[in-house]
Amino acid sequence: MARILAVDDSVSLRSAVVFTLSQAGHDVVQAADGQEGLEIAQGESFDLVLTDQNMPVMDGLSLIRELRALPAYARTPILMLTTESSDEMKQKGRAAGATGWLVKPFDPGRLIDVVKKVVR
Amino acid sequence: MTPNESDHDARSAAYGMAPGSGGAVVDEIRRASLELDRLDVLLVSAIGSLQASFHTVALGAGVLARQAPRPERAAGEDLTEQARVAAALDSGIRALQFEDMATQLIRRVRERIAAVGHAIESGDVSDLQAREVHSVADRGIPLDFGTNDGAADVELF
Repeated sequence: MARILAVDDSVSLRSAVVFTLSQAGHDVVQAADGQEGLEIAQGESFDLVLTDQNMPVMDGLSLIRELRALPAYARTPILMLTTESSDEMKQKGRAAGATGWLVKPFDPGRLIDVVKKVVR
Repeated sequence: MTPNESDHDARSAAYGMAPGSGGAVVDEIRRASLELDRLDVLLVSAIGSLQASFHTVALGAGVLARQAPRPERAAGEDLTEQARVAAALDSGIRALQFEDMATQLIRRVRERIAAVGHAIESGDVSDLQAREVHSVADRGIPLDFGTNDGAADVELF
């Protein structure tokens, strides 16, 4: 079982992620934007961060850069889960320190497989 | 001349256009914007109800899907039922994501409407042409949430 931080401004998307990963036995904490996600991450430890890109206050790429600057999250897997699918955006994600990129809408089984793969 | 036409002409004049041209376009853009606002409200209301129903049903179905096969049933029958429930849950989870996609599409349409309004006011369409590069048609937003097609393009770095 992993502790996962799910960051997305869409309530329905967070709900879908929480349901999927909870059913797979993971403990999921939610945040509604990058800033809230960063604040939660600074106060708790997580095995994986799953974040959207386009969010108010702080976007996903900025969140990844902020997290990677923290020693506690230097090696923590961070996955982008977003509608953005261009190679340009993926490259930006990679440069910011993302571990992987998932394009919405996600398939529950594939999300569980990817989480299993990146969380050891 | 009706009061509406007079109003349109006044707007057209304000935008430096011929009577009866730009004012009506600007009014239509405003109406389209208001209808998008209503669509937004409808979506929020619908997704709230849908989520509540989904969770009630899915929690029960999730338990059923995880249950061990009952001894009085044939193994194949139980597996089929479990697979059917699991597939229905997966399909529901994919469908639940429509609100996020729809909200993003509405946001893009708002940006386009604002850009058209700006172009009418300034008489410069270069910004519109530049925006066309970022069309939502290239962003892979699906039209069918009921299947796996196009779902979760995954790339690990």
